[in-house]
Amino acid sequence: MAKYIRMLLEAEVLFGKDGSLTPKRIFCNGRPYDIDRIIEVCPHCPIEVGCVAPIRYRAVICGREKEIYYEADSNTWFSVREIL
Amino acid sequence: MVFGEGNTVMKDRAILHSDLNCFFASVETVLNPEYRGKAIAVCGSTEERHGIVLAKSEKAKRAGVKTGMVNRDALALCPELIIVPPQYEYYLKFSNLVREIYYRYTDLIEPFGMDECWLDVTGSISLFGSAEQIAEEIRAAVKRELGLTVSIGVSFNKVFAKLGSDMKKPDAVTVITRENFRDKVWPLPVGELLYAGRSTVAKLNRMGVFTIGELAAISPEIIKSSLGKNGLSLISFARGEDSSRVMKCDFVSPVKSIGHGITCVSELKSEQEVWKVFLSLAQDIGHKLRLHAVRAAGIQITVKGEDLTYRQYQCPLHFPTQSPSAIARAALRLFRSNYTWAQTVRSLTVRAINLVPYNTACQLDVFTDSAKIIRQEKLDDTVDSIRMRFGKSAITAAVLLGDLKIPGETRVNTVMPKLMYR
Repeated sequence: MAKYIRMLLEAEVLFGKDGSLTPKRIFCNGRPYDIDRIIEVCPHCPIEVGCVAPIRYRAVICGREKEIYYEADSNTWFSVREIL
Repeated sequence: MVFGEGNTVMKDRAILHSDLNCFFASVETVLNPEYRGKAIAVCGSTEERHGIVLAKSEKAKRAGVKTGMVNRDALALCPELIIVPPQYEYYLKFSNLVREIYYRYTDLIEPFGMDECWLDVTGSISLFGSAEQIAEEIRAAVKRELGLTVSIGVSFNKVFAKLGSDMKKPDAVTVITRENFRDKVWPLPVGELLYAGRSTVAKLNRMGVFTIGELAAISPEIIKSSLGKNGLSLISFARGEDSSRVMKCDFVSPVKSIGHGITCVSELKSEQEVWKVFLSLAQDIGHKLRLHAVRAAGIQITVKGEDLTYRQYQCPLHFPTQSPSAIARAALRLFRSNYTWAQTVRSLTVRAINLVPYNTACQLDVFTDSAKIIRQEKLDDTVDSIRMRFGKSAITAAVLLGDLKIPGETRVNTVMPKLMYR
């Protein structure tokens, strides 16, 4: 059975005047990845990892569509990574 | 009755009852997905003598594990059961998050415990669609956004809505209308009806009433002679005539009593040990009496023995009071004059009853030293304000130092279900 982990990310985030959060860049293993554009933002709980009501950001990162999450409860950004 | 839009006139209310499935266990699974699909039970601590099942997963339920069962019995029934300790702060957090979803559709939300709510969506139908559509949207949103499942009953009154949410579990919506309630509700056992407890069901069974339909058909005069006005309420519930309102979240009923109880980590064997527990319990009661600006004019104590049977005693107080020491002394006098020590004491509860507003005048007598009472009140106020500013352990009676046989404070205060409001 596949196993998943929560991979915590560093993120540069724009705080909008309306209180919205827009990630502009994430860092994974110290490497920066620019977020080209945000496709969708919605509350979504990934069932693979433990979390509390995160917001899912579907984004194009370095030309590829990826999902990253923001969890307000812990004030952290993470992605879901399958471990082999 | 019409649930809908357009030119049709709505004659009935649209009430939802939402019940989170296996709530504590489901939250634990969301926090730790490795529990998914396994038999898990959220249990109290065996070491602190709270070792019973608080909630179980679907798989544990199918194995026969029941809420309230002792931990070792649950393990005997289901050897692969995973026992996890409760994390009340997360349960409260998720309960509030679910309520935020409900708030998208209506502000008429009445919680019934941490995992159940009634919602009155009568006024929301023109905005969001039929009651059933709203229920489906809520069910999907709770699952998608929080990873929890919910069963929702949709009906024209609170009682049937609650019955509906019990019918299909998990993750389902059940609609009970005026057209189908005789087929769906009336065949159910009478014990399924809200507020029909064990002794009420036993009385009804002795009268030959076994189903909700039979209760609906019985004469009100016969029920009233046996069960009083509560019996008349049950008949109206069975007939779909419940008219109780869904009370808003922020409605707070006037407090009628304030109590605090504890199961001790080992049996209490002497009056000295009982006194210490009473004094400790009375500290919180005194604080809450101040918070609610009331005084207690009576005291009730509950004593549970080692065989888990309990006895309750109560008495009036000479003068209404907020003083923890006065409450504790009254509790000890009541205990001393009634408890025969046939068994050692497993748990104690003290309850301040017959509450009166703080500034209620009371008749003094010639023999009472009123100046002493005033001095004691000032001392209690000072101690209470120190505890509020610096924590409960900042100041305490010297007799409460050392081993009181009381477990540590871990529980979160939650409001338990109350009677329905008409």
